Amino acid sequence: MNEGSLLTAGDSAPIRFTRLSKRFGETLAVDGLALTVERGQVFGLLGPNGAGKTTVLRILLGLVHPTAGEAWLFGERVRSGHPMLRRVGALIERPAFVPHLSGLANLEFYWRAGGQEISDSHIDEALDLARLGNAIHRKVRTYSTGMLQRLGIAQALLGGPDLLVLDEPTVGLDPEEMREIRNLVRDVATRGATVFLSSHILAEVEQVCTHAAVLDRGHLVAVGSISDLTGSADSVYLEVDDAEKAIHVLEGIAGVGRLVRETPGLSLELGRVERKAVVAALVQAGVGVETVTSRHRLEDAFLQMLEAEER
Amino acid sequence: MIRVEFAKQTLRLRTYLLLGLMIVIPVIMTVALKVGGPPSDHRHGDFLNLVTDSGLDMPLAALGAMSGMFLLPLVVLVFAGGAIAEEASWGSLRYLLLRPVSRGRLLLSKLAVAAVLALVATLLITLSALAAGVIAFGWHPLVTLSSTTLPQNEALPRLVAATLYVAWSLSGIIAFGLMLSTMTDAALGAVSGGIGLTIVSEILDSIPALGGLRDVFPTHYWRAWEGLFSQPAVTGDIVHGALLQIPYVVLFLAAAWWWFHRKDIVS
Repeated sequence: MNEGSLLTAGDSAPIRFTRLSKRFGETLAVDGLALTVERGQVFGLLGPNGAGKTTVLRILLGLVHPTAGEAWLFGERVRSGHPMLRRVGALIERPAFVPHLSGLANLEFYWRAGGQEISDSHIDEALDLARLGNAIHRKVRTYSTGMLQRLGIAQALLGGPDLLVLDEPTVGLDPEEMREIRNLVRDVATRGATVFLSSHILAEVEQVCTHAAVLDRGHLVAVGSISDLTGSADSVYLEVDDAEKAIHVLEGIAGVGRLVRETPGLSLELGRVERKAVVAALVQAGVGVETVTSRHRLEDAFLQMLEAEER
Repeated sequence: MIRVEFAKQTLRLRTYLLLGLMIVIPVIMTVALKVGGPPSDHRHGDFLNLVTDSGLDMPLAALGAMSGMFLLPLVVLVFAGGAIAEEASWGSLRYLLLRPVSRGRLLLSKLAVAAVLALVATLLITLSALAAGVIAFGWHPLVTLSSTTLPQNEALPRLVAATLYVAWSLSGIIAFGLMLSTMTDAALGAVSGGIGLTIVSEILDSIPALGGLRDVFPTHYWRAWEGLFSQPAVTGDIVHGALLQIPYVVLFLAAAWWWFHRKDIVS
């Protein structure tokens, strides 16, 4: 669906942020974000709650005005009500509807409010996805969380958008529903659309995304394709019986990178050194090694960030 | 866009309850006057005293009571104050605004719906009271405040004019309610703010020491339509009152426009 508008998309990236910043009073929610999402990518914005993910998505859709920098949609600078928003479907924070209207009326009104004909909405496909059955005719205020979430995703998919923006799409869902959402995201990507989703769950991003960025207190910590980010096990997490001694030993190995205490264990960037050499050195020095876990960059960036937050 | 916004209100029970009040209360007033007779403290210049002589006076008594007792302003403010704030509190505002439609158009659609509902509410008072009044007290020439009579064919156009004037007099507070509605996520706050403005204006208006300053209070000319029903008709205040709403409407709508465009939608 929507081949026409896909073709006219040209070379412009669906999403581009240039030195984007947003300040809410004293808080710097987004800090100099520069990021491009190319067509066909399933891009995950990973970060803990409060990292600024939702603010980034809201700026992208023209809901929030940036303090500095710009957000671009398909090569057009974002502003509220821009015609380019026709090509975007979104679920922001949580689904929200007019409570005294039925699910069906809400979808129809949402679509028609944008000045678009209901015949262009592919509403039947959306309703199939929502699987609400006869409940689609009930007032939305009677819906459960899962029903609301499915209706919200159906709404985001109306008209077969070229860009699907999903904010924490699996929050509040049971494992089966989570799996459905993941499959759905893959389906959407298969037909050539771009997906931009936020999540605070590392595994979710690893499973569904082709690309990811880690956001920490408003700025980018890591960005790249999932294979780049997860391909090389370039750091290792250790739990030992004598951490002080272990640190002393590890600092003595030439070529070992940064060492970080992550209670109860510690992590180190391997650099050129092999994992088994590290373990051998520790054992030789009489340090008992209880756990050795390889880590890739995405995990590293994310976990170190969480660690820093706790401190 | 406007059609969608209208549909949202017309598919809503609350709208009918509020508009229903506009029908029921004049009927209750009529029944009370029929059963209990006119008020015993015979004050001059009150349509309540005249309705027993002609059913045509009933809409005037009802319009005076409904706007004077703030019920009509309250109902109108529920429509205006809820316009944006309710969507914000439901969370649906962000979905309305991520559509390819400008914020200005959404605001205008919401304004149009509130304005039409306000007009309908006012018309319903007149129609309901007219029907009930004629049934209860008969189709006689209207009795004016000067105790003269107006034949029906002259009275009816004036009744229409009075109704439209009452509706237009509400435009300032509608604009104020809409402005507050863009500033808060609590519809109740916007409604209360509008009622607050109305009451403060009425209180200050009742202090003679404020002199000519009172002429610019938004509610100062609210009862000017009564001049249509004295002999001879007094229309100067009606013109003043109608013109006075314009600066308020412009000011409050401009503020609403400005605020709504620069607002970060974080609800």
